[in-house]
Amino acid sequence: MLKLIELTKVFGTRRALDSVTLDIADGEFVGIIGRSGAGKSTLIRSINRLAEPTSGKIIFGDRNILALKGKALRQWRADCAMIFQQFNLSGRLDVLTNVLIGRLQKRGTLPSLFKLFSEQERAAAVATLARFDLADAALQRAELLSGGQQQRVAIARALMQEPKLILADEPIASLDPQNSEAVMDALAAVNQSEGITVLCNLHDLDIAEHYCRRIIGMEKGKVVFDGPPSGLDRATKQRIYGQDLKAA
Amino acid sequence: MATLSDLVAASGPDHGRGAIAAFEADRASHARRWWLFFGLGTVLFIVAFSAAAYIADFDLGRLLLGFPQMAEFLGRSLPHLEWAKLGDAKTVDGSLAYWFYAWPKWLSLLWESIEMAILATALGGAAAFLLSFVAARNIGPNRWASMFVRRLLEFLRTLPDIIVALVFVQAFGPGAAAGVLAIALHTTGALGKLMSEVHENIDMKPLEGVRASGGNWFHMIRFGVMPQIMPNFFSYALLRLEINIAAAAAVGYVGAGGIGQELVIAIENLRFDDALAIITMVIALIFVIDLTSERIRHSFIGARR
Ligand SMILES: Nc1ncnc2c1ncn2[C@@H]1O[C@H](COP(=O)(O)OP(=O)(O)OP(=O)(O)O)[C@@H](O)[C@H]1O
Ligand SMILES: [Mg+2]
Repeated sequence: MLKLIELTKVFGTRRALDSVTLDIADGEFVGIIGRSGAGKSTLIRSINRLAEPTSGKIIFGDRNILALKGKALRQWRADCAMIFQQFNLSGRLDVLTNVLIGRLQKRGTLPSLFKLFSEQERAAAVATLARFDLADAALQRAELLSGGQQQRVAIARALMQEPKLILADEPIASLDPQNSEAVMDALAAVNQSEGITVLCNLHDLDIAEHYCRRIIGMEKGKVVFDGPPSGLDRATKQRIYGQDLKAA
Repeated sequence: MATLSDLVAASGPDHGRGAIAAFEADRASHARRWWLFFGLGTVLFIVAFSAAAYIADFDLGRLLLGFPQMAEFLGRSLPHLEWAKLGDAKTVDGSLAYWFYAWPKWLSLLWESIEMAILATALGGAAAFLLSFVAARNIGPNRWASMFVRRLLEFLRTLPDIIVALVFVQAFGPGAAAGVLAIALHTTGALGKLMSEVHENIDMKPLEGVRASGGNWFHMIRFGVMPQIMPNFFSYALLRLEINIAAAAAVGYVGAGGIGQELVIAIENLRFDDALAIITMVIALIFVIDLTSERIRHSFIGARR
C-alpha cells in the first residue's frame, strides 16, 4: 500500500502539489489525468524523489519515503521503476546494457562500472526483451530504435529492477497510436501477470478510460476526481480539461 | 490559404497590436544593449592593446631593423652543403650525413621526448578525465566540490609548463621526470576544463533514467555520461598529445629531458648548424604526428555518426 498524506510541493510561489492525500492499493492500475501544469509530473516525480516534496508524507509499507537517504533511497527508486515520456535511455549504449541498467542498484559499484553482469541477469534481460518482441535488437544502439521500441526497452529496464510499482510519466505522449497501444498493452500485461502497481500520467482520456480501473483527476495541484472511469461525467471532464474538451 | 494579414487578424480583437508593440520595444532594447556591449568591447580592446604594446615596448621600426639581424643569424646556422657531395659519407664536409652527423643520438633523444609526451598525456589525461566530472556544473556531486575543482583546473592550466619544469628541475634534479610532471599538470588543467565544458552540453535524460533505476553517482557517470562523451575525450586527448610533443621538446631547454637539452648545448657551443638540424627533425616529427593524429581524430568523430 502506497499512502500519500497532504503531499505539497512548492516551486517559488506556485503550488505544483497542494496537499495531495491518496491511498493506492497493491496491484492497482491508476491513471492520472489533468491539464498541462496540473501537477501530474510533479506527483509522479515526488513519489520516487526525483523531485523533493516541500511537506507531507509518503508511506510505503513500513517505509517513510521522505526520510530515506543514500542506499535506502536508491533501493526505493529501484522498487518504484520510472517510465519517462522521452524514454531516457542511454542512446549510445546497446539495448541490452540499457536493460541491465535496471540491475545497477542490486550490484556493487565496481563490478557494474565494468559492465560485469551475471549470466542470470543477462538471460533475464534477453528473455524480457523477447517478451516485448525486441530480442533481435539486443545488441543494437538504443538510439537507432523507434520511439515505441525504445519505450518497451524502458519497460524491460523497469522490470529488471524487480519493482513493486511502476511510475509512468506520459509514456505514450510522443508515440503514434499503434506504438501507444503496444506500450500500454505492455504496461497492462505487467500489471496483470506480475501484479505490479502502475501509476500512469496520461493526456488522452480515451486511453485512460480503456486501460485504468481507477482515475485520478488533478487541477492546479489538487486532486479533484478519484474513482472508476464510469464516474467521470461530462461536468467533471469539463472541469479537469476545461476548454481542451470543447475544442476536441 | 491564410495570408499573413489573416494571421494577424485572427490573433484577437486588437489584432495583436499590443503584443507586437511590446515585442518591438523589447527588440529595440536588446539591440541597444548589444551595440553598447559591442562598442564598449571595441574601445576596451583598443585601450588594452595599446597599453600592452606600450608596456612591451613594441616598436615597429625596431622590429623591421631586426629582420636583417635575424637573416644573419639564420645565415650563420645554415649548414655547409654541396650538391655534388650530398650523398657522401659523414666524414665528407658538405654531405647531408656530415650535417646530421649525430642523428642516431638525436633520434633517440627525440624518441625520449615522444615518450615523455605520451606519458604526460596519459597521466594528465587520466587526472583530467576524473576531475572533469566533478567540475561540470550539471553533474558534479555538489556545488562546492565543482567550484573547487574548477578553480584548481584553471590554476593548473595557467601554469606555463616550461616554468613548472624549471622549478621541478631545481627540486628533483635534471631529467625527464621533471618534464613529464610539468606537462602532465598543465594537461590536467587544460583537458579537464575542456572536458567539463563538454559534459555541460550533454543530454541529461539518460542520467535521470539511471538515477530513477536506483543508480548512484558513479553509475550515472558510467552509463549516462560516458557513452556520450568518450569520442570527444579521445579526440581531445590526441590533440593534447600533439601539443605535448612540442612541449616535451621545449622543456628540455631547462634541463627536463628529451631533445631540447641537446638544442641548448648546440646553441651554447655556437654550433648553429647542429641547432638547425635538430630543429628540422623536431618540425618534421611534429608534422608527421599532426597528420596521423588528425586522421585518427576524424575517424573518432566520424564513428559517432
Ligand atoms: N523545476 C520546476 N521549476 C519551477 N516550476 C516548476 C518546475 N517543475 C514544474 N513546475 C511548475 O509546477 C507546475 C506543475 O508542473 P507539472 O510538470 O507537474 O505539470 P504536468 O501536469 O505534468 O503538466 P504537463 O501535462 O504539461 O506535463 C507547473 O505550473 C510548472 O510550471
Ligand atoms: Mg508532465
